[in-house]
Amino acid sequence: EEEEYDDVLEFEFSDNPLLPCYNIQVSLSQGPRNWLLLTDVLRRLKVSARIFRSSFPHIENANISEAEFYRQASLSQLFTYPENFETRDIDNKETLELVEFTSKLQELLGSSVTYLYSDNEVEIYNELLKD
Amino acid sequence: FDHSKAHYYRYDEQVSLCLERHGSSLGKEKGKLVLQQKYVRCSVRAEIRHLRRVLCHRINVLDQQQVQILFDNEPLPEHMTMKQLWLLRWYGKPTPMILQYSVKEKRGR
Repeated sequence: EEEEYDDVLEFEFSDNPLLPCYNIQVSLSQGPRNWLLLTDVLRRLKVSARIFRSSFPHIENANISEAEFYRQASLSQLFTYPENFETRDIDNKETLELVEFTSKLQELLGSSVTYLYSDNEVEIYNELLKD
Repeated sequence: FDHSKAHYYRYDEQVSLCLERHGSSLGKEKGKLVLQQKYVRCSVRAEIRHLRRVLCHRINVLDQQQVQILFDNEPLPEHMTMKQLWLLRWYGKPTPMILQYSVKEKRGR
C-alpha cells in the first residue's frame, strides 16, 4: 500500500519524455487529482486495456465525458491543446478513461521518484530520498 | 470529501521539465555530473531551490553552491515557483519546459 506521507514534494525523473498529466476532479466526492489518459499509458506500455486492467487491478481508473475533461483541463494556464486538435472535435457522448497518477504508475512507466520533505518555514529539509 | 489533505503537493497540478546540462561537460567528469534521467515532473508549487536540492542529490554533488538552475543561460531566483517560471518564460510553448543546470568545478585547495 502506498506509504502515507504527509505533505511531501515529489520529483519524478525519467529518461523518456513524460506522458501528459491532467489535474481533474472526476467526482464531487473527491477533490481534483492527477490523472493520465489510459490511451497514452497503453501506447507507452504497449499493452491492451484488458491486460493492463487484469495486471494492475488496484490502479484506480475513472471515466469522464470528453467535453467535461477538456473543460477542466483547459482551465489550466499551463494547458495547451494537443497538436492538430480542433475544439469542435470534442464529442459530448464520447467518454475518456483516466488512470490515477500514483507512484505505482510512475514506477510502471519507468520513472524513479525522489521525495523531498520540505519545511517551508525552516530552511532545513528532511530528505526522504527514496529513489 | 476529506479537505484536510486537499492542499497536498501531490494533488497539485504538475509541470513537466527537461533539464539539460549547461555547456559541454569537461573530459574527466564527463558522465559523473550529468543527470541521467533528464525528464522531470513536479508540482507547480515546487521552487527553484527545491529542484536544485533534488538535482544535487541526483548527480551526487554535496555542495549546493556548485549547482545552478538556468533559463536561457540566466540563473533563476531561488524562490521562484515552476508555475511563475512557466508563465513568465514558457507561456504557450509546448511541454516540456527546457531548463539548464550548470555545475561549477570545485577549485582544488
